[in-house]
Amino acid sequence: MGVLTTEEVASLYRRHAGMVYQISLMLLKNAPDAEDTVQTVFRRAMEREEPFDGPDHERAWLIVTARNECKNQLRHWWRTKRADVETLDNLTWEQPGDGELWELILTLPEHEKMALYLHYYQGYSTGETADLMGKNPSTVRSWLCRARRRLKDLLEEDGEYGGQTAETGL
Amino acid sequence: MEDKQLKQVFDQVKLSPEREEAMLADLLNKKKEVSGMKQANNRRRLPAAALVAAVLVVVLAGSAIAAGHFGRVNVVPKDQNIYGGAGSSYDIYGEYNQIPVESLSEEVLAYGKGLGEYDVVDLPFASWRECTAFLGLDLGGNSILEQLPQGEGGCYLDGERVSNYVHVGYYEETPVVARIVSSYQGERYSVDEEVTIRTEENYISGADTRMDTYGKVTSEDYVTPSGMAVKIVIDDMREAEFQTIRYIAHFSKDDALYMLQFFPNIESQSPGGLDELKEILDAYE
Repeated sequence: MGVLTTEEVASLYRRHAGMVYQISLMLLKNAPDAEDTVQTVFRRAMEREEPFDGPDHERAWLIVTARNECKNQLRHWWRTKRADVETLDNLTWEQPGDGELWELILTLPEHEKMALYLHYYQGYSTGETADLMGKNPSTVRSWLCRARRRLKDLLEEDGEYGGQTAETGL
Repeated sequence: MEDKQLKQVFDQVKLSPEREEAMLADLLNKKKEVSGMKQANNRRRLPAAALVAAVLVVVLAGSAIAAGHFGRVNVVPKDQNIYGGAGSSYDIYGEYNQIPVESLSEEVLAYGKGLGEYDVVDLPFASWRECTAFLGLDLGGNSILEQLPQGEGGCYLDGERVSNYVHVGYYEETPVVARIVSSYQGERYSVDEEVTIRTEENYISGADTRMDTYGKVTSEDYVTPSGMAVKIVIDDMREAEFQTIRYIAHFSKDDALYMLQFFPNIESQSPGGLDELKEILDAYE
């Protein structure tokens, strides 16, 4: 067993389970698989023989491990549970447009939505995002640019939400 | 779209507090179980004979559903369920050929461009025939299923419930697996059909599909008049929360692996359900 005590595991979980779930749901598009991934990632954290170097290290480790675990799940495509009603029912949206934007984000390529999430939501710089994803900062910048352009195009294709994009000028 | 809109969306993607706490409790319980096992192992090593016996128990339990003409079907003991939850599951190993990537349509190949290392695409269609046309495959249809209204199975895509969709898995922009999912609603039953093909670029070994079961599981071999060998798994969930029986038929045909989930309507739970499933199986071209 690893170096973390039960209390430390619980604390780590409460601080970061939400982030790991967001990454997993975004990449796997499937709530049951995303929940399984959360458990797997934190089990791996529990098995670590070395303590984390600090808050930044533990967060980065969880991001990279979550992403790798999702890739494993996608590789073993047959393991993915079939999408069902509950997948969407688990999410409630403040505005209808939020649900539509989430659906569009899910359609982006894996590397683009991951870069989008780390940079715009988690607040990592493009350099830090590049480190986490094992790529050059310039590559990440082009992914971010492409992701936003794709979202803009998709939003414009969508009549109801398209009006809002015109207002915000994207 | 502004940055705050993205942030607002991600803010709402979260587990409920109750679910998060339940998952944490489950995680911590497993930590205790593993710690307990480690301590026990440190105290006393199991003799080799006991280990052999334990393995035999697992193998015998796995053969509760025996191998058939179609391929091996194995029941994994409850504690080996890969999802870690209660209940059982079984793997399906199909005997069917992997098809050349080039035999898929240009459109399918085009969808892979620009995708990540591993990625999937789900696309809705109006009918099963349209799904096969999109893939560029000539799969024989089913004269009974194609007469039925569309069912409530399938999935949600872009917020819309769809009864027919194609799921394509890509590795480095190349399709490695495709699945057609269709849902039908009869008067006395509903049927969800899944047809899976794998391309020659798919190097993943092991089982084709894993299914979770929820009740008492038995199986039956059936051969259609045309000679198609079918393994039917019967998941009797009447004592579980679902209050129904589910029949799951597995067979391979035309370089594809088929799975039919047949659900008799709850109000018409009759032994005739299995016969109706067999009629559907007999109707495959």
